[in-house]
Amino acid sequence: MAPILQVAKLAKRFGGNQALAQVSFSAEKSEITAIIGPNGSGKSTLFNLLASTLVKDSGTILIDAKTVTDKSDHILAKEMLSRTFQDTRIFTYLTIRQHMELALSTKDQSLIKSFFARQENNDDAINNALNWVGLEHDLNEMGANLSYGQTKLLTLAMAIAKNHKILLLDEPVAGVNPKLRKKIAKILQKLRSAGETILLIEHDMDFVLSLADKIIVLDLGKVIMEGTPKQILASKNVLKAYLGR
Amino acid sequence: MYYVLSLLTQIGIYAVIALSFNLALGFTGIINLSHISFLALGAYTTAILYTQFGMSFGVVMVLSGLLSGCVALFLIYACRKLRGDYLALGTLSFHFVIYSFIRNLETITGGTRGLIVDRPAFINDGINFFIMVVGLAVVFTFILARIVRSPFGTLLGAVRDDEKLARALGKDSQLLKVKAIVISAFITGVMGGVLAFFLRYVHPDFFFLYELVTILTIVIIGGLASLRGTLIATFIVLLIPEILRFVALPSSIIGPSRQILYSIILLLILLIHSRGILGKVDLH
Repeated sequence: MAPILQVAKLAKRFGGNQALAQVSFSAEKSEITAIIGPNGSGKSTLFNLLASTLVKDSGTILIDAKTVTDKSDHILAKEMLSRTFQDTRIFTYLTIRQHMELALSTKDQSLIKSFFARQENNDDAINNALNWVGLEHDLNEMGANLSYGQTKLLTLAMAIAKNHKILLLDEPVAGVNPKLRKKIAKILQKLRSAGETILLIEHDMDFVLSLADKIIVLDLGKVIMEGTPKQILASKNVLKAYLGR
Repeated sequence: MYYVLSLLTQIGIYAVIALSFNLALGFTGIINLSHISFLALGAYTTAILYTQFGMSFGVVMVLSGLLSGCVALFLIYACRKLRGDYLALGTLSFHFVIYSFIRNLETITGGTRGLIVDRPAFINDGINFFIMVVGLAVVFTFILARIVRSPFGTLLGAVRDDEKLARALGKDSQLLKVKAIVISAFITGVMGGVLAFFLRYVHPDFFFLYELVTILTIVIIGGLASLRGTLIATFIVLLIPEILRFVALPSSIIGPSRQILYSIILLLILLIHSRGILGKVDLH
């Protein structure tokens, strides 16, 4: 079976800085693929190119064997990708219910339809998505009143609830306490078992090594190695570039 | 009696203008400082089409709204890459462009002489005019309330709070902003037409920047993203300066005092209670 994500010769330059150079890799369905690398290695640029929030200089991205490089970011997000951000983002003045309704809904952009539509009760779908991440909270609570950890879980629940083929998670355990870190690791394992394809960026090496099926190591905008956690740990190049050993 | 009726009519007109401004600013997060130019476009369209071309009242009202809506569409397209303070500056410059046009395009707008506006016979009487304004205010308030409470309104809130996250959820934030600003401008354009009939005269100075201060004061005092707050604040903001009428001061002092009073109230609210009376959103 062909990989669900295929990236070939992807390149991006910012002025004189070659952020990504001829990056190629693939990700299999129902697997967790982790992208690691030191600061400035091009991980965030790669995520932004995958999500189409940045425009590539060259290269191709295929999701489910379809080229997606020409799609605008919101269309790609609507059809194929769910993502979370490094800096946890939330709608400050919307309730948890409204966050989840936004994630679940695909038809609410028409003003006329929305104007005459009756209020739908999608509590079951909302609770189902929140159960995935174990967020038990009053649905009418405002985003502004949530703790950092709850915000992390809510954004993860939104990403799961939204229609997608691949989950892009940008540092899902950055800044969280060990208990929540363990909880998020379990959620991701459960998602993988349910058939989710996950691509994540993470600095926490223990987290990555315990969870990922495949690791891609970036350094100075290039893929310097890809393989299983065991192979990565055995590579001298990786240890030197990333772990400093 | 005439004084009270005239004051209440004015409150009705300003309430709708402020509500539509709140749709863009409070509910969608678009800092549109050219709101008064949409009012001016509506007023001048009405003055020209009704008085000079003799078109029917209904058609003139719709065209006043449509022209403002179309100009808003152009404005939001031109400013599509601007955010926050830069968008505020972009829209403010646009206001000056429209102001300069109506001031200098003498053959069409009458320039600094302004234009006389005839009133249709059925609203020539103050009571009938007031009833029409109340009717329009009820209809527009209902439409705006329905919009902000619908899923579409939630989407506008999402764009206001975090546009990047809204796009990551597959929402076309640019299209949503276009829709919000066009609705806001359409309603303001129609009310511009009503204002022209109310004043029976249009002049560029009616649409200078200090009118924006009045609308901004109403919205900030009432609170961002609160329709009820805006309605209450319209009464407060328009009634307070009326006290000055009963103070024995020369008109040369009373005139500017109104604007000074608004500016002081605005500053006090911003410093003491930035959410205003019923605001749901903080000023960023």
